[in-house]
Formats: sequence, structure tokens, C-alpha cells
Amino acid sequence: MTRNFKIAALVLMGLLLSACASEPLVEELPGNSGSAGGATTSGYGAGGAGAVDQWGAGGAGAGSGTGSDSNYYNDTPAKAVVYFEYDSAAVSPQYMDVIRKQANILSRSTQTRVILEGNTDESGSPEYNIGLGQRRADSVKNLLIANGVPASQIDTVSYGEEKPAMPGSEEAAYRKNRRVEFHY
Amino acid sequence: MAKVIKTLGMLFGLMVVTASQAALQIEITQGISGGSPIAIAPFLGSAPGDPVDQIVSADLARSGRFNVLPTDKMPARPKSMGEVDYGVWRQTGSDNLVVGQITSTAGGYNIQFQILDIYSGKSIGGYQVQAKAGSLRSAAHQVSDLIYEKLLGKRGAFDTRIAYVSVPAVTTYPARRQYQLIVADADGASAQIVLTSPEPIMSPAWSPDGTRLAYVSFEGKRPRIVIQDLVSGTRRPISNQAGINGAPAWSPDGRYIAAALTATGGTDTDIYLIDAQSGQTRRLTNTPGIDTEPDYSPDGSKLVFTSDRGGSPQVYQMEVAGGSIERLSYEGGYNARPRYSADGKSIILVQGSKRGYVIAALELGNRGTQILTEGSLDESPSFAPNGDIIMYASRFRGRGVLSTVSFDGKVKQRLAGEGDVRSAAWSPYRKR
Repeated sequence: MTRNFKIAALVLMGLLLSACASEPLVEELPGNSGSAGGATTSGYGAGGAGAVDQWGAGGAGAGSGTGSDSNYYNDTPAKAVVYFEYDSAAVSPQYMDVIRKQANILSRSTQTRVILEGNTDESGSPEYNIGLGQRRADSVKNLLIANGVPASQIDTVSYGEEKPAMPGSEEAAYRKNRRVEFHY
Repeated sequence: MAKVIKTLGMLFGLMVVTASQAALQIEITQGISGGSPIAIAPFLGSAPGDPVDQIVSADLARSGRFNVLPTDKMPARPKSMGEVDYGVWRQTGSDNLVVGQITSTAGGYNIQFQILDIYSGKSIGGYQVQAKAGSLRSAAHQVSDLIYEKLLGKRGAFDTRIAYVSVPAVTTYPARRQYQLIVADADGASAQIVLTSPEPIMSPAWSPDGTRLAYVSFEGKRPRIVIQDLVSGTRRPISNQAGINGAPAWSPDGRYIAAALTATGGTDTDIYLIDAQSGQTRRLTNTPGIDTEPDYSPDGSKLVFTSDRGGSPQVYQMEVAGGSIERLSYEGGYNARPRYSADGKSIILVQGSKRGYVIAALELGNRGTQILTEGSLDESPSFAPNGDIIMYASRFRGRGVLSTVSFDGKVKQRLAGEGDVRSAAWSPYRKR
């Protein structure tokens, strides 16, 4: 869950933070009060004092540096990935084992939550691709539910084309970017 | 006048970004034919930064409507009307010559210039622009605007700004991305980072008065629509519902933001209007399929948007007040991300086919389509406020770059930064 990641990041990095470091994530936007959230504003007459880049050079939490080769950018590695065909949100039969395995993990404890991150390749319009990524995440969610996982344990988010796993404009990269990642 | 801009260095040396690192470099990729021939002589006097005549020459050339005489082809460098030998200038083929003088004042500079008609040997206009120290580029762009308007009878859009998202090239291992929201002059100069985030930033949209940007921010790992005041720097989320909050577009009166939101419990987004003050929403579409990327017509009565309700993404138009929704695009299997022209008579959009993705213009009257760019990964087109130039995101040598094309398709430029540049929006005119 994102909150666990964020707290871990703050602990790991031990940055000099503003007083609001332990505030809940959601409503406060950094740049106004320097609170947590990770984004910082600058320029255009804003003093920006207290607006700190929470994420810093240390990276966002557990797992970075383990050399996952499924993600060139080494974003926090996914526990599992499902890949998709061009312009499609249908889960191919070859990934049903992945789904079932993750469904088993989730079914073992009602405390376990997964975030399904939907992604697309870079072709086409970015905002439309947010929608396509969301469809992919929802496809996987529905299959998890069909495999016995309560919906309340599943969150989804779409990054569209904004977070490619593999840079490049060839099909070899695109194939790696049309995906849904499981994050716990 | 351009406001004095401060940059803020990032703590811990992570991304110590200066204006020069964030600046865009311009390269002309396709020349013009048939523009009005003009020469801009170097101005008398000096001031810091690029010479005014160079800024003006580049502006006028970029519009596609002028054929600017290169400095090395000038027969002379007159600094005032009295110095001009019209005989030698007639041989250059230029119709007009601009001469100017820059003088220091208490607070900055005073730029005076005269537009001369070479054939009649007469001045057709003399002008003066005041520049505060630090706002000289903006003053030079105002000079361009005045020349443009005098000679073409149409308002220039040179003293404007652009907002764009940049993802700097990753040079560390493990590779970590940062996303930056940058505001710069329309020619790419004076770039300033106004937001840095470890999560994506998308779809900047200027408020009609040019003081605020709405954009999508994934800080906290979920998308929100945020409004940021560029003067004060304050930010507030205007749409923060569960699911998707995307594709913000301001109404011409600045009161509403049209956006793509996930219906409660739904998967695909629909078009909503959000009250920019209160955050209250009004739903405009309610069909299966992704509805996104709305844009208001200049008179505020209509919206165009992308929808795949028919099976593939196409462009549709509807009345804001309600009523039937009309499909506009019929060429090609993929049409998306529509934007109205300033006069409301055309829209530009992204068109996809087997050849890739290009920017096309669709005339609303006869529904004719003209392809403006070569592709193959062109996206996010945005008009200059006078409709003469279109800026869009494309890829060049493995990087995201901003490109411009004049609305007639003839003049092309590329603006490349240090990293991946994407998702640009052209500001409205500066308030006069």
C-alpha cells in the first residue's frame, strides 16, 4: 500500500523534513505547507521555503536496487506482471497462472492489499491511454475477484504511457510496457 | 511585462536545475516560401542577453508568414531612419525594414523602433516598448507582436508562454525518473521549473487569464487535478475523487474545468464540468466507453472530446448545455485529443493509422481534413492564441521533443530539451 511505502521512504532517507512529515498523504499538497507527498514547487515568485522533495536521491522505499530486469527504470519492482496485446485489455490465457497465484496470496489474509497498476505503450494519445491502462487494471481486478479475492483488497491505478518499464519506440519495448503490475 | 522569475534549487543536490538546464533549444527543420520579405536591422544600443533583432527575426520566421533576411545578407546596418539608403535595400527583395534603438532607463530599457516601407521609402509606423530589467526578452517579443500586427492586420502571439512536462534523461543507476512541469517563453527561453515530482505530471492547461495552470499530478501515486497559481505558487486539488481525474480544460470564462472522471463504480471516464471554485461537478456524458480529452469552443458553448463509444477513439462535439452528441472525425481508425482553433472554425487532433500518429486539422465547415505533420508519434497539439502556429509533442532521435508547425503546414521547428519533453500547452495572450 502506498502509505507503507511512503513511511518506509521517510524512515530510510532520514531527510531533514518539515514538521508535517507524518501527516496522512491525501489532501495536503506540498508547496503550500511543505507537507508530505513528494512533489515540490518552485519559481514564479513562490518562496517555496519548506517545500522539500521527499523522495530525494535515496529512492522510494523497499526493493530498489534489486536489479529487476522487468523494469529498466527500477521503479519499485512489481511482484508480478501481466502483459497485453496492442490496444487490448483482455488477459491472455498464458497469464491465468499469474492471476491464480496472486489470488492465492491475497486470499490468505484479509489484511493483504494489492495495487494493480495499469500501463500502455507510448503510441496514441496520453489521456486516452490513461483510460486504456485503467481497463487493463480492471480486467485483472475482475479476474482476481472471480478467483475469490474480495474487491476491498484490490486497488487500481492507471499510469497510461507515463511510466514505461522499457525505454524505446520499438515493439520490443512496447511489448514490455503494455502491462499491469501487482504491487503490495 | 514578464514578471521577475526566481528559480529554486532543490535540496540535497538532487536536481539542481537552472534555467539553462531546463531551456529548450530551437532548430528550424523546414523553411518557408512565400512569406512577406522583411529585414530586421541590429538595433542601436546594447542590453544583456540575445540581441533584440535576433529575437524578433526568429519570432517572425517561426510564424511562417515572414521571409526574414539573414543578417549577413544585409547591405548595411542602419541604426535609424535617417541612415537608410533605400536604393540598396530595394535590391535585397525585402518589402520592409525595421530599425531600432535601445536606451537604458531608470528601471530598465526603452526600445524604440520604426517599420519602413522599402519601396516607398517611408516609415509606416514608429513604436516604443518599455522593458523592466530582466524582462528584455518579453519586450523583444512585444516588438515582434507589433510588427506582426502592423503588417498582417492580425494579433501576434510572440509574447506568450508555454507550459510543458519534461522528464530529464536518466543518468544515474538505479535509474530514477523525475517529472518536471516547466513554464517558458513561447520560443523556449527563460524556462522555469514550477513543479518537480517523482510521479507523473500530465496535461497542463492554462487558465484564460494566464495566472494559473491546471494539470494532472500523480503525487501520492494516484491522479488528481491540481490548480497551481503561478504567481503565488499555491496549489490546491480541484478534483480528487477515487479513480481517474484527468484531462483538465478551462472554460473561456475561467469558471469551470471540463475533465475526464471515472463515474462512481465505473471503469471508463466520462466528461464532467468542475466548478473551479467549489469543486462541484456536473456530469455531461454517460455512455459506455472512454470519454476524455475535452476542449471548450472559444465561445464556451460547445465541447469537443475523444470517445471510443463507437469502438475506436474518435472526436465528438456536444453542446455544453446538453443535447445530441455529434461525431466529427471519419478519416482514419484513430482520432483523439481535439483542440479548437482560436476562431472556432477548425479543430486540430491526433490521427492514427498504420503509418503512425500525426497532427491533422479538421475544418468544421466542410469537414475536410489536412495532415500537418509527418509523425510517427506526434501527440498533444496546442494552438498559439492567434491560431497561426501549432505546437505538439513528437519524438526525435529517441527523445521526446516539442515541435511547431505553422497552421499552413509550411514552417516547422523543433524545440529539444535535455530530456523527454511532452504534453505542452500554449498560454493565452498576456493581458495588455
